[in-house]
Amino acid sequence: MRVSYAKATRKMPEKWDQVKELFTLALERDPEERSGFLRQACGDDDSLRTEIESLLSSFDGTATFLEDCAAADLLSAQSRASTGKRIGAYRILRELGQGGMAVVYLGERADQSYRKQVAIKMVRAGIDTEQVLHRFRNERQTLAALDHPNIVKLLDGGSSEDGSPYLVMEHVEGLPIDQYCDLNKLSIDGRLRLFREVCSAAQYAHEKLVIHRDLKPANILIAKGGVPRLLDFGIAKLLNPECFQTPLVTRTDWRPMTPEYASPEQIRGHAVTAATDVYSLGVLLFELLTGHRPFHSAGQSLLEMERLVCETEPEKPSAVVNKQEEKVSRDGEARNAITPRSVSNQRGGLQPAELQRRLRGDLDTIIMKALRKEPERRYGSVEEFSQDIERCLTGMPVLARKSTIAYRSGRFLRRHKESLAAALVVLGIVAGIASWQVQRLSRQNATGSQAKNAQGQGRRSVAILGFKNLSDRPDTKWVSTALSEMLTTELAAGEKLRTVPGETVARMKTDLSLPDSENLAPEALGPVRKNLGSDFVVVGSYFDLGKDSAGQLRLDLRLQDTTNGQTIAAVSETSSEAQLLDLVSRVGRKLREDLGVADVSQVESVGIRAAIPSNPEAMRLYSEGLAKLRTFDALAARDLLTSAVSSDPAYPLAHAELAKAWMALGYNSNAIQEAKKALELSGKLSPEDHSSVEARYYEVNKDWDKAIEVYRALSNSFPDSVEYSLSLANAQIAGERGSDALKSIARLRGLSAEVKEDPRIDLAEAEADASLSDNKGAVAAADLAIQKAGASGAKLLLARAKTFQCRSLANLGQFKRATADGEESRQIFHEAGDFAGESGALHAMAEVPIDQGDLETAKTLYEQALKLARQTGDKKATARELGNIGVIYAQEGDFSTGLKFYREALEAFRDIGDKHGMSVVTGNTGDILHAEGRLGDAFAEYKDALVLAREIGHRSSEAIDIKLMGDVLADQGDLKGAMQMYQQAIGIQREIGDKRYYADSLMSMGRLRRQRGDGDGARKNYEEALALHQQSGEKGLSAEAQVALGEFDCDSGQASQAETLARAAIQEFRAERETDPEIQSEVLLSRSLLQQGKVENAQQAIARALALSKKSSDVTIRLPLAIQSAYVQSAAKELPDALRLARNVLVEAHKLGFVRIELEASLAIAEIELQGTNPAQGRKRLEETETTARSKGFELIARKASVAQHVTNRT
Amino acid sequence: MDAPTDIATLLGELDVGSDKAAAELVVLLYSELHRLASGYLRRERSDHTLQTTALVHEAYLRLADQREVRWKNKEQFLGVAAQLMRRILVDYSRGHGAKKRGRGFERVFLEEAAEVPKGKATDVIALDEALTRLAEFDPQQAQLVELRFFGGLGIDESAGVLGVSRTTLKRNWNVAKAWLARELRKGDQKNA
Repeated sequence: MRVSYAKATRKMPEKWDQVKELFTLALERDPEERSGFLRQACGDDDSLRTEIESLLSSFDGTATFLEDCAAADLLSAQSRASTGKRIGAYRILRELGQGGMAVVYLGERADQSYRKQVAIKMVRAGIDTEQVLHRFRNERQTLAALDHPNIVKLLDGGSSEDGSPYLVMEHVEGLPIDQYCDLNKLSIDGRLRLFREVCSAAQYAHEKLVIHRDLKPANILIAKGGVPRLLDFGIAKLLNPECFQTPLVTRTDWRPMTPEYASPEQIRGHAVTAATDVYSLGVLLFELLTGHRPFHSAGQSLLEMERLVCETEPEKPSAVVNKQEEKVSRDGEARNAITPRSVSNQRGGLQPAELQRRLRGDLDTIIMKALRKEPERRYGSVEEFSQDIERCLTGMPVLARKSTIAYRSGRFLRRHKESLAAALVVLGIVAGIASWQVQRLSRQNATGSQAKNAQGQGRRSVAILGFKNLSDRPDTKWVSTALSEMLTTELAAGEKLRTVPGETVARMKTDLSLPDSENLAPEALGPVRKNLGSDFVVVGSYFDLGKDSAGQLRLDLRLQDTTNGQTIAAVSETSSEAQLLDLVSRVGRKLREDLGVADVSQVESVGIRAAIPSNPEAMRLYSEGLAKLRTFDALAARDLLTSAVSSDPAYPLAHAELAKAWMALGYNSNAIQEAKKALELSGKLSPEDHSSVEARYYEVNKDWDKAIEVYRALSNSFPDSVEYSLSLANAQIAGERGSDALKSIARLRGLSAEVKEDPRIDLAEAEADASLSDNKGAVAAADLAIQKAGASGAKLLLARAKTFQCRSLANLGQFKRATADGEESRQIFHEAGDFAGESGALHAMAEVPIDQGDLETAKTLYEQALKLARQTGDKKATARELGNIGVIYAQEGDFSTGLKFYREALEAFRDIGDKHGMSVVTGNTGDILHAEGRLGDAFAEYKDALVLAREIGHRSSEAIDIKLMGDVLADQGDLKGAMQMYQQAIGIQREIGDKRYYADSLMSMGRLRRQRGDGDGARKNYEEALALHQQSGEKGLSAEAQVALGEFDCDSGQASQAETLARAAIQEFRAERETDPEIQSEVLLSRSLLQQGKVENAQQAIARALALSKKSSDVTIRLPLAIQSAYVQSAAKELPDALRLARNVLVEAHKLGFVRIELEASLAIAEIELQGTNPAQGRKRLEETETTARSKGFELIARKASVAQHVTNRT
Repeated sequence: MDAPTDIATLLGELDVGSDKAAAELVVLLYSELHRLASGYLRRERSDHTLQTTALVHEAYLRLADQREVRWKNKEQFLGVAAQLMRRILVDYSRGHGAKKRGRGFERVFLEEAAEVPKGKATDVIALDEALTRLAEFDPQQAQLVELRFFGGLGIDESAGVLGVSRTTLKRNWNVAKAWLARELRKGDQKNA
């Protein structure tokens, strides 16, 4: 090829310069003048004129000729290859693009019946087998059914003449979402909103059971007006079905999936579900927000990519934005530098630090949840994902937020939290049911207006506040309760009026310290209205002459409007105790009349009669029992209600209330029995009452799914009842459906403006947040509840919220505030006489000193809680506190006292049939026995705990017990058996996503692998556990993992590295006051120092460890310490002492059956002997130790023994 | 070989007319442009409109900035680049045409120049041949076409490279177009 055109060559046409000149001049003239001009200019040179005219004619029509540059021309040439060709009813206009599997053309309908342009995706050769085509047709129909504004519609499809299938879609012009966002410098919020639109399309498709499988920016175009349009829904599967049946790595053709957007399950060839799209959307959001992708395929082999995607945790978005990266464009050619500055600037002109701050926290958490390796641990649906983003946008707490509970690493405290958590959920539910109040939903004018129907919102509401007993006789006090209950039932019948439940009224009276009175002043009515939300109240007085006068009774009552205190009706009636029902009916009729509400029907009056005991004695007992229950005396209530039940066994509500009493006392099985009877007898009750009884039965039975179902129906039928919606939310929380509960709560909030002031709703939200481990959200919501409860004077609710807050704040490490809230709530409960509540508050308060390592204070608090629990007769709380006190003793090293408490706790749990409690306590007992070196007994306890856990289907406990059995086996030298246990435990923990205990199992497995000489495997386990602990901010456990890694460094001679790790761990444990791990760290330190020849320092470390060990009786800590101690002595040339010490260990370990420790002791003895007077014996012992260790699989010890022999052979 | 100094040297030598320097420079630029162009032509980029000028400028920026080459003049570079693009695209066109034929597509021929509507493609190979003929007697005209059509340069830029006025350039452009259109039609008729 020539480079320059420096010199003209000869072959020029004749007179070329003249031709050019005249051509240009002619061209500048009007066309009609040209021929005259040329004739003149060329004179008689005809050939010249012909040449110019020919050029002129060829110039016409060259307006566009060569004007497009060559490359663009080439492209259009390519597409013209098929231009004009027909596919089915479509004519191809040009090619739009090509991919690995298909060619896309721009086309239009040949018959012009559809004027819009379409995109035709033509499948390339190779997949046109009959089976595939059949599948193609089926799938095509599914896709055609997708009709969503953000989804590009599939219009048509078929097979072309040569048999290859094609699809016809809308043609959309737009930019891929990532480019669109960058080009428009969209802010983070803007990007999130756009992303949510994408989610809505994906969610829609998922509901139609279509999964996209290949979501990435190129498939999400932003059309005019900023509307996202998703391309190729489900096409990936359609185009290459077999793609999804083989793992990506074993396939040669993996084009249809973009590996950077592919989920682990896609890469591995596992089942693809909606969670797959959640993952890809997570990658997309990651990229939209950070400008980086979680993983990069550039320069990676497929295997490397697989490992990255399936095993590596991506960096958090907020960390990634700090990075500088060269991004390779899609064609793999161009490179762009991505810098923190460029990225943040493209996001609404932020500064790098601002962007980082914006991403840190919620957005990090949300994206990381979408990107989890295990599909089941991601968001359950795209909708959930999207809603969490919405919550983030509106500043609400985010669901994905993981708890940062700082678990203690002390062995005995480990399960402690778990047993606490389980106990507290139940506590929350019971308390929640007990102290609901009613919130008015809307007010109407007191007079005139007709009540709305039951389905309508805003029925007028009435609260019966009770009646003043003028006779002053305690034996007639029950009449107030009885009258109130009966009148409430009477007025509720027909569902025209909303009546406030008596329980709620009782709670309000306690809260406001409101006595029974005949008449309430407007000022006094204000707080009542605020707390109960009722439009009207009924107050009054009665005079009962008592049994000696045949129970003659006079009742005066009045109906007052709560807004102005006006008396709307006043009634006076006389009757006898025996005819209370008639009395109430008469009063009810009168009140209905005054309120303009229709009288009860025949059917309804049957319901009323069923809701009232058949005889006066039962009525009295029931009413007295009820009153006791409402003043927190569950023991007295139980006795009275038991009598009521025997007086009228067919009365359903007495059974229901008795069930509550049993619940409050912690006797689940008795409660279930009574709740069941109540349900069986409730057939005649009004439908609403019947449903309530039914729901209660399911609650007591912990059949949350059914309870949710019934409460949902109730809250749908009575949307103005805040109670039913709250019950629904509580059942959802208890049934581990926290996100559903949040939905119920959100719906409740939407009901009316007034509801927003109801603190119960905030508290329910806090509980839902906590159940989802969102502690920060929980604290925020509980703060609101506290504020509102304080403002309205709802004392008991305030106390409950503060107890709750105490727990949440402790979890977040805000100990001071936690203690303050706990103490306040304790006091309020105490003053209200709610000792169960007080006990719960003390229990919550004990969390704080535990987290601070102050075991004595915690013990004192638990002891107080225990005392109150015994006083109220709450057996469950009693068992729980006994167990907790046992844990504290065990942690303090007082094993025998610990065991004593465990035995008591176990008995108490057994009494009430609480298998979960029994399982936890049994496992805890195993822990003590293990620490005492009673390996066989410990194993038996763990096994019992395992059986119990399995009976109740508690998977987490099951896995923990299996792992602990593995630990015993490992100590006993059964490495194979131990490994199997660990694998089993890990399997379960992976399945249920129990990260915390999974990491624990990893540590155990790592220790075992180290012993077996599998260094790489061990290190891998340790490191994974460490990463998990660090991720969840568990400092103590992280330090333990560091110590394990340090032992490893010692094994491989990197003593100084081990020293550093040991010192850091010692600091950590000392700060946390964790004795056992501190001893272990000192032992490691001593070992590492000895290896470096620093004998004196090693001695000091051992001395510190020995001093600490006075507080520890744990054999598994003590014996290894003694061995190291012997090594140090031997290094200090105190050989006889060293030998004696090591021999003692050998004997004890042998006696207890600790095979590993026995071998280690034997190794130590041998090494000491080598240095002393009898090296021959030492060598012999080394040989023996090596052989025994190897035969049992203790490769590490065998190797050490072998090395020691070689060393001595050489010297 | 060390690219930066070499390119600088080569360009300097090119200035004084060294054929060897030019040849080596061409090799260097060729590989760079080829890499860029094939990315476009494989249409793996999302932007559907290909602008050769962007490509050439990109190559310039790359070679000039990243390798810290101090070009004597940019025009010189553009001239060479356009020439190279011509070669790349012609080669590509040849290969592509062959491939298309192999897959059962007809080869695309240039239609009557007078009838070439907007968007219709030019037969790059035929054009290349015609351009070679044109260069034999009017190298400047040929280079102009090369700059604009293959190099994708605009009128002003091309005028700068050729060292002529804008008016002259426009005139020359018209003549060249007319001549080439006629040449191509002739070839077409022969083929038909």
